[in-house]
Amino acid sequence: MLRVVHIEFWRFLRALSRYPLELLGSVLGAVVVFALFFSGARYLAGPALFGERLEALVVSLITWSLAFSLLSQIASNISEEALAGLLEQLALTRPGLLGVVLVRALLSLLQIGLLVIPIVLAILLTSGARLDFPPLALLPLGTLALGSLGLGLMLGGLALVYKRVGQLLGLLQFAFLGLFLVRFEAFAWPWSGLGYLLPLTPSVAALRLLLGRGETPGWDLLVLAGINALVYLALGVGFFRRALRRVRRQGTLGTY
Amino acid sequence: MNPSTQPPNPLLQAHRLRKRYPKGKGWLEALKGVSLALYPGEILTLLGPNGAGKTTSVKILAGLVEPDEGRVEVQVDGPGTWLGAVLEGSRNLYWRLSALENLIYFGTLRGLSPKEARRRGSELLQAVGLQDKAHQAVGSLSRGQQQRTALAAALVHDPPVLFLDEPTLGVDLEAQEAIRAWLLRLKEAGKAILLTTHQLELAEALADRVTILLEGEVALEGRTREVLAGSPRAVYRVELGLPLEEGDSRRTRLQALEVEVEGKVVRVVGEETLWEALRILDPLPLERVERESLSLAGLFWRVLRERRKPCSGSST
Repeated sequence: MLRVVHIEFWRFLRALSRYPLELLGSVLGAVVVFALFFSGARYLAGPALFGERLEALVVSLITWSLAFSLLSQIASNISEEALAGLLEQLALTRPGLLGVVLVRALLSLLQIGLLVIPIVLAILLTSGARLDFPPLALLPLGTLALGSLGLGLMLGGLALVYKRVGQLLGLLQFAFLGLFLVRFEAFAWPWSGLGYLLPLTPSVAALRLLLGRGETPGWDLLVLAGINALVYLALGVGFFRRALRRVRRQGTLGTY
Repeated sequence: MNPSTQPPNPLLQAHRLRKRYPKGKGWLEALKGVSLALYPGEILTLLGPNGAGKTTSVKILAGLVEPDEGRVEVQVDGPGTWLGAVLEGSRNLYWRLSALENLIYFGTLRGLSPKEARRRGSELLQAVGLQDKAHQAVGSLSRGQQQRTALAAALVHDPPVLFLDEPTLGVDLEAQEAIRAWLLRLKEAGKAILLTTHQLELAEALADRVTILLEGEVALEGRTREVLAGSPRAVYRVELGLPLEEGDSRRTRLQALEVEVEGKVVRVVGEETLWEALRILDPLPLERVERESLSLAGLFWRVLRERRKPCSGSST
């Protein structure tokens, strides 16, 4: 598997060195959007707009950007490979299509990390928010990534079957933004509990506490974040396998 | 391949494959019980018109399509790496990577170390005459060069089985010739090659065995030499001393026997029909009567015509 990770990383670097403007363009685009969002909102409503919840909002936006980039990247990558007519060749490899997709998803964390760092800096500069970053934050960040990977595999499964999922991704990004902005941790039982059944919400809540308020979340929330991520990852893998089986039955793996 | 050296067990065997796809409110029967076997050191060519089931067969054998019924037995180790394939309708390669980079990438995904894949890739690009294009992006290569690179990519991990679905489609004559020569070398090296093509001359030049698929069924199969030589309904060419004019009643009678008339040349299928045709032609002067050496193209068209005759008859 290390060999597959190595060769995928090598392919990513080759593409990056040959087409650096693609990544640079997406970074600059996202930075400009967030910078305009915060500076525009401040200009219109004054500095008191977000009040005490500014940090929570900033963390929600950052986690949304991180999670949505990861899950949409998996689906977009499958759509691109289908368009290029390469899914069948990838299926005829030792790790198989699922293995290649998983390795690429892990590597896209690196790519998205590169994308998110300048976005975070832009948000912090334009919003005036101050974020802590304790080492414990790596834990909910990891569960956020795992859960996003599961959702990405579900979307990837849809991309395998339906090939074009661009419109769905467009709709989903707003649904996710809404989901990430809701502070389930502030809700009373049972709404907070039910909210934590939704994908990624415990991870986002833990990150809001850690990064936004400098508080250490309870272990129950962290464990819940782990369970939530693993459940959605398992669902994602299962869904992707079913989708792969379906396109094999339909004979549409290589079609677009 | 010499039949006496043929191993008892084929590398790959498909038993009664059936596959149907939804089409409108009904079903399209793509394969109706197709059985195939592929031996090492031979080229098996699948022929058939569009929609005959060639690509479905190849994809089922490769594990890319699941059959509704039947099974495929593979007598080779190496999950996912026992075969290399050039698939029709696919790019097969990353156009943004160079030819060599593609070979390194796919070679590593199929079990080689990157270093080994680079070495094999360079050797193969040299073998297909593309060493000077090794560092050029595949998207900027000609169609023939892309196909030769795809063929090299299919072989980079040295698989014992090779599936080539229309590998010469849209390729110029020079590249076709290069691919043809290379496939013969691969066969000599012991590879089992399954080839589908519409280019009957290429098939005839390469195929040890031929299978003709029509409407999802095997219409004819056997060793190429044997099916060509052993056809019970040979084609006879009768050359007349004078052309048979339009409006000549003998022309109508000959056409009723499905004899082809073209000026001074009359083509007849089967010995019985030949004698009947000669009786009709009597007492016209004859220049020559000869049995035509049957080409794969001739055989293919005859099988196609004979197969379609009962269908058209039943529909009217």
